[in-house]
Amino acid sequence: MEQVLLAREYIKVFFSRYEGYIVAVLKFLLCFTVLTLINREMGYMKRLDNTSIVLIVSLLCSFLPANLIIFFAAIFAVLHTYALSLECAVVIGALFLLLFLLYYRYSPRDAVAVLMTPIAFILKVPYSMPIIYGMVGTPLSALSVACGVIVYYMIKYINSISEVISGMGEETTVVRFKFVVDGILHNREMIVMVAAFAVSLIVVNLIKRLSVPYAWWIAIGMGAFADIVAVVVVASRLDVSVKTGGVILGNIIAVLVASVVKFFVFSVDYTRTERVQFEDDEYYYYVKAVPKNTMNIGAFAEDGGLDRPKQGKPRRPKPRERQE
Amino acid sequence: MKSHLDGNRVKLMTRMASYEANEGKDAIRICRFFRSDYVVLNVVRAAVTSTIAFFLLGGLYVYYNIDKLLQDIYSMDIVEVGKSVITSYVVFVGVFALIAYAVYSFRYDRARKSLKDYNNALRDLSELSVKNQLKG
Repeated sequence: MEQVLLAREYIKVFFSRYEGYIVAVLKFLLCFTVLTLINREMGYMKRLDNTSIVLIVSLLCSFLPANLIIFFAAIFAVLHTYALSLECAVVIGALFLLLFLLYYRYSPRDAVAVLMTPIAFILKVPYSMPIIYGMVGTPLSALSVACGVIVYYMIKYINSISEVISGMGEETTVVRFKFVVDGILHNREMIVMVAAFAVSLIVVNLIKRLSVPYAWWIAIGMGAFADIVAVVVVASRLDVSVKTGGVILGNIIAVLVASVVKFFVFSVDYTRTERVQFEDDEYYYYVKAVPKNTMNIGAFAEDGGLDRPKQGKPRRPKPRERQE
Repeated sequence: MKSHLDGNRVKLMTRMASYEANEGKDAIRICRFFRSDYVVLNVVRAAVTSTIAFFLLGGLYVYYNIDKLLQDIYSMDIVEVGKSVITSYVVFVGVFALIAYAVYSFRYDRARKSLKDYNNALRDLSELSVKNQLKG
């Protein structure tokens, strides 16, 4: 356990020192993964299914705000579906536009859930999404995760009907449009997942706020349990067949993933090295403020060549209460 | 050679500069407005975006039901249809305007609260400057 704690401190020091580069690399990796997965899963437009284009866009995104990754992912998805059929492109484009106009304008920080949820489905860890967003977000994050689920099932549905829709050349555009919309609206498996994820996320979020010992760990466990119950109940109500064993196994994996994320992300204050500039009447100041770390990581400093931080009590800036 | 730098003042200014660059960025931008101006501006924006969304949804609905609508076009009561469209529009935009009112009022109040500490720090800085001038 001590080794794990030391590793966590090492990551913390490493992150606080190279934060600028790490964030750029993470954005690059996220964009590259998302666009590669879109190309692999859809790939109808051959000109777009090109590693060079993906690399260029990913490099661009590593220096741009994170929400632009969603914009590029949406453009890729719409262009691929356009190559398949105009009707699919209209439906998927309208969905993205509605999401932006009606929801993400108000809650841009949650927007990345619409990317992460389909990725979690493709990586076979979908049940971890409501638990993680329950920990990091608010009950309203259920909407973001629900949008991610809808996007994933929409892409999955369009993939499943790609041959059928290609063979409907003689039908009118209205018939094809109806075919696409009906398939998406009547996807009961999608409704089951949306409902179960919403329940799980809200349960996690409400329990983690309780002031009881181990509230976060209880929240993770109860979130997974609520997810299993919700999937089984809603599926039986809507007459959808689900593999209960698979749901339980998926939730066990989700608990493990959420526990790792909780340990390395939410338990640590990745206080950053700050570089600020200001001036007064006499001087210009260029200040680099380095956070103090509390744990002895001498062994890592010797091996890894990182600066050994000063020892001392953890000091965090507290809100200043003015005494009148 | 003796330095003229005041350590406390530099620390205070560093914290303030850090706040301005990070969590205070939005709060400072929001609090440049009066509360009513900020909330009304965002409610108007929400009304515009929800109007676009309404017409987009309406367009998709009409296209989906185009066959039925073309069949019934001569038998339908245009005035009644117009009334129901306008009612739907008012309800749709009204709901989003209300949500925007609640969200942006909350954000403004939160920003004001967050700026309180910053304003206190500004006052402390001003007092420190006066003290230094008196010493000098």
